[in-house]
Amino acid sequence: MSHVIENSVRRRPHGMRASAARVLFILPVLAFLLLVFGYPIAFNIWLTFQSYDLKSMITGVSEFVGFANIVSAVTDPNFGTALLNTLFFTLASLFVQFIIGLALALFFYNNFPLSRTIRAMLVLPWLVPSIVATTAWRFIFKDPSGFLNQLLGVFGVAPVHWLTSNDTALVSIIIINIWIGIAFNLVLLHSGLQSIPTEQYEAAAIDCAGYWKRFWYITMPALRPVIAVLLVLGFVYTLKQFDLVWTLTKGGPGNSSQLLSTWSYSLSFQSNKFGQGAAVADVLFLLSGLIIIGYTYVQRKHANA
Amino acid sequence: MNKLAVAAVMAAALAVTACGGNASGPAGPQEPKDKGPLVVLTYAQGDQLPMYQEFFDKCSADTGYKFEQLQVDSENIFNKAIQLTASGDGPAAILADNQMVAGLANAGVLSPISIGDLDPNDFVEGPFKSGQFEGRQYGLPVGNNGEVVVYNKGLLDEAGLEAPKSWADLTEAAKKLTTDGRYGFAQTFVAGETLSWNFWAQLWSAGGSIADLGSPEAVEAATFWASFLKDGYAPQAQLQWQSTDIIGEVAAGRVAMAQVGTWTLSNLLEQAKANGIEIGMTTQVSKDGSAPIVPFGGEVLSAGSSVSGDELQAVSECIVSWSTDVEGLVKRTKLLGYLPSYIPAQEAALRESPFLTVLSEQLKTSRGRTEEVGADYQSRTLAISTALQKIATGDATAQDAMTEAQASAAKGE
Repeated sequence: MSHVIENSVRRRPHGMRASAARVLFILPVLAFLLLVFGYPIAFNIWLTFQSYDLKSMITGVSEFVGFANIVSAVTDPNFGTALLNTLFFTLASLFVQFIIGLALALFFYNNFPLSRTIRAMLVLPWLVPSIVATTAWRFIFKDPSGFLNQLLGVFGVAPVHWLTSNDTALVSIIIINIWIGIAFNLVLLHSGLQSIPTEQYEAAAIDCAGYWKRFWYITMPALRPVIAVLLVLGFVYTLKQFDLVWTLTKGGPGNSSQLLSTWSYSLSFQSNKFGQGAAVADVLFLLSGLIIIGYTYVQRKHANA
Repeated sequence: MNKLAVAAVMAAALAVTACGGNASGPAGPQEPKDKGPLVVLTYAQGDQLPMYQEFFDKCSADTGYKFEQLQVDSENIFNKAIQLTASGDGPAAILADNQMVAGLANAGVLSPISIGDLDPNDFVEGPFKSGQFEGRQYGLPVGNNGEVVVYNKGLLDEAGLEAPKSWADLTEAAKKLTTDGRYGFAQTFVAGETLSWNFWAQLWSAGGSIADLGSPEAVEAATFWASFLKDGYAPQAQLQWQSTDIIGEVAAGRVAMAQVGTWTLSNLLEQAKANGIEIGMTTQVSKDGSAPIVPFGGEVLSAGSSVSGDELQAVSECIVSWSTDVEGLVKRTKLLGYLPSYIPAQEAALRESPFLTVLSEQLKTSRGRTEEVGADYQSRTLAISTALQKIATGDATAQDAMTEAQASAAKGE
């Protein structure tokens, strides 16, 4: 122990110079982050407390209004609907994407003829620009004679109002979001599986461990860091989903597929209530922030353990 | 690896909020701003652009200034005009929906124009006033469109029905004409202005006002307007149908009656004729069957606040000729399905497009959309269309939906 302290004392001057150099290296990144991420967030938070309207965009003049925008947004009858829809949308998408992604990753773990080609095809939805994908889905879900309804008609099922009924609009959008998200889960989990040393499986096989035993005691623990990253990224990515809903239903019919993101946009850019729109965006920021703080905390605990 | 992942997560999170709803949108494309081109911001599309350019070229020749069009999406024109002006690059003129004039003028994006010795009495009154805000003239209308009721004449005759005039007529006819594979009545229920403006005539005929969406009259009107979808006389798909989609259904005989925009009429007549269907037209209905008060649509060409002096004079001259040169007006309004707001041009326009007779009747008793709420119109649009969709899909009662709509719209006004 003592020689460690001695060592560090002796090297202090050199260490200080090194840390100064480190700060110097960090500066460009810091400046970049402040400019590109810090400024918009700060502006958004500032906007939340201002009476900023169309006039203000020209004159630059607005007043501090305290919590008025937040109160207006939160007490709006649409807030509850949008919040619940957002949580349902995010959690349902995340859960199903993950399960299907994991199943596919396990399926593709063993290479078989054409497995690479099929895997590449499964990644396609992720690569297609979402505006293109949603246009295609619009045709599939079209009321009353879209592709899916025609397909159902072959089996004698009555046409479903996929995007035009308040019972199915949000579910239809979740289906599309899952379709897009599976690829992301598949790719990360598949590469995670590749990094598990095969010796562990060989040893388990010698111990006569069955498939499920190997899955629970080798695969899942080894995948844990990948899964954590996957879920956190997926959560943040899904929470802010906007273009999908906007191109398909604009939050309708009524408010049945309204998310916080689309509602925030409507408030800001359709009703020109910028402060209230910013307040709703703050809620999204808060939700992502909580998840990330939680994740960082768990990571640190793991690292220290 | 872990640190990298965290950094990536943080970056993603920051990016989320950055595009979650901030109001600091990027400035638009930069245009040179010397003595040079006067930019007309427009949402015109397709055939309209070259035809407008032909007109603006004439303006260029008359005034010595070069006029150029800058085309944007109709949904974005309002914000684009403000962003460009805020960044010191404002358009010299804006060609936009008349309901936007109040909001644009209120935000300080428009300049008052001089109309010279033009006689206001030569214009239909409502449309002429739609170029004004708080007593000042910012622009002039080109022409007006509206929504009218079209019907399959054969089907109505067969059922012994007259063209609908009152709420009761329309409801009864829709009920009678709905059969397996055919809907009695269709209206577009697409969220936003498409839906809100086809509803205002009913709101007004019940004695309601855009300023109070929660009034008993407003609830009554909304109940009526949503009843067709709710009771199954209108197709559910109209929640995503525009007028252009509806006319296809009418022409195919799958919809008996519909309220559609006048810009689709010539197309409808053509399609229906090909299918051997005779189309009748009548004004929008009203509660008691009297002449309806309808909102008029159509664009106003107004001057931007970034021009002054000689430039503003040139823009003013161009605006006046835009609204009054009879020959060009007839050509422009025909393409748009408009009736000129300039009365001396109406006769010639009706000769070109006789199917606009119903529209010209309706326009006599029309009302501007911003007369009641002025610059606050935009938030009303969204609130009412959401409420109507909720009522029609059974998501909320008319009373609840309309009370909510009023509360939402009035917040922060």
